[in-house]
Amino acid sequence: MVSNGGGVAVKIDNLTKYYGKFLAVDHLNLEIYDREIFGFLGPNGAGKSTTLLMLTTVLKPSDGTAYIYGVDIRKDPDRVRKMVGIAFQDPKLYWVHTPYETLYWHARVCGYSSQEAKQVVRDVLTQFDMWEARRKRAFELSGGMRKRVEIAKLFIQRPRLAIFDEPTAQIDVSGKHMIWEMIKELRDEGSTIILATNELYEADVLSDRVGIIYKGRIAALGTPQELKDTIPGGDVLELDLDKPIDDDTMEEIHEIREVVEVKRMNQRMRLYLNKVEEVLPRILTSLMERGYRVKRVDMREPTLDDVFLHYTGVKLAREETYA
Amino acid sequence: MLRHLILVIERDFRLLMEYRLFLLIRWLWFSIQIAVFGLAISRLVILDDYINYYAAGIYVATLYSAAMFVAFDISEEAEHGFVDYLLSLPINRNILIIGRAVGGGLRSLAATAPPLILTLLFVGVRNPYTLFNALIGLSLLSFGVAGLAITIVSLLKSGAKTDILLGALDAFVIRLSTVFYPREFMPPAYSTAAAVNPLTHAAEVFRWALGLSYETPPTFSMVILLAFMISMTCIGIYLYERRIEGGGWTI
Repeated sequence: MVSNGGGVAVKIDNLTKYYGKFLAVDHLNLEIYDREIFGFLGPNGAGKSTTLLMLTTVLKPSDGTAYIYGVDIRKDPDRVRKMVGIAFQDPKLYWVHTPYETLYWHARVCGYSSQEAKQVVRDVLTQFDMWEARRKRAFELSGGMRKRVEIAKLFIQRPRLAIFDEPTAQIDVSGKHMIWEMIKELRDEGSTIILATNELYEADVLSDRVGIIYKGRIAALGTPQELKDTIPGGDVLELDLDKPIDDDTMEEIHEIREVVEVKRMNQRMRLYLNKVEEVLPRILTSLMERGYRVKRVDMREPTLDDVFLHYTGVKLAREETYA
Repeated sequence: MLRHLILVIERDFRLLMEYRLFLLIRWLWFSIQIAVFGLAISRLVILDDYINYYAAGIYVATLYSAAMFVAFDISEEAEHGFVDYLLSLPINRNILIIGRAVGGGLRSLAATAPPLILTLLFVGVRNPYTLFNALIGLSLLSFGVAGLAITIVSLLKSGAKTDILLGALDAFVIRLSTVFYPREFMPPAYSTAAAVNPLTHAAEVFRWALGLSYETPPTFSMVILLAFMISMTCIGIYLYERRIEGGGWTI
């Protein structure tokens, strides 16, 4: 469900980035709507972070451009930076600075007066359960604490376009839920959110729309439900066997009328099919007749992981390759 | 814009406090350098009043090293990915580079304030007016070197390359100047290099202010130092605007 304000917040137009001869982002075209939470999915090295760094003007595009609320990132980067904020994947804290110093300076740079900055830093540190640790230096903080400080920067800045690059990596479960709620609140207050993540559940529960980037290009785009609906067959069946699956077995299973697609990875088989309850006994019988012992059976509805696998042949969660 | 400039300067200046022990050691080193090495070498040198000549020179060399230290700070920041953060902030890039150059320059002046005071006490202040002018000249050197350091480290994007290049630069820039010896004793090629070296002109202005012997008219030296500071800042702005981007830093 897209709950945007109707306009386009980000228009990416043929955006391209080379690192030497390596093409990291390949003529990317994409529109992100005003006040939506846009999930940006992709495995490491897909071009996700490079795209985000170009949108924040930290990196210069090799070709193409992007418009943030109509402002060209190449022609007017100063105006773009006033509208965009980013919480980086790796926390950018100087090792000798404390959370309080880091956020106070950030607040001042973002336009708060000294008094306002003190208040907002106190509020945000309290909200992130970091007030007690405010005077510890960055090198004394745990990974999760550093990540909280990094994310807190965006909740101080409250930019028109807020970019979260893997916001809940290294964060514990309760912290994740808190951050998800805060991201939703930020959107409700009027910000457009880009949420780059490897966590499919996170993208599923938070995103209005999802874009899957793979090898520098958009492989799939739509709401999570739209993308799941593109998966052939209405069910997903995953089987763990006791030995690697041979080609004949794959062929036999695929010949079952209800089976739309079969993928395998060593001893694991994933089937996209209809009427799983009716077909399952037949599949299990075929496998047993061929001498396989079934160690695990998992039936479920398609997830974004299936979507990713379907479009790229790569399993996003662990980046395993299915054939 | 001014607000951002002040914030960038203030942040860099505050970093100085993180180097308290390092600064104490540098000040101790400076005192020993004059009291032991300076005193001993002045007995070997035929130049009149060489101990004072040396004291003024070693202060200029110390100021240069302190300003260059900004490069190592930035290199370390970059290794922690901090440059990406700075580049993402709603700060104009020109303001960022000017702020860092000025902040680095002020930091260097503050870090070398005790050696400066020691030098003034050791040599003696004869004329407050000329001393004021000399301080302006030394500030120009400090801002210019900090700007140069930032530009070099931002272009190299490598901690190791920064260490090597700045080490080599330090060896040449200090030795091909009048920090330790007058131009009249140098071979012609060295003397020519020293004539265009900003350290020479900073040392000349400082010695003039202290009533010591100098070879270049102070006004000319001040013009050279001003040109150096402006050109380093302009090159920094030009490169920051066109070449500098985040990522890609190596050890």
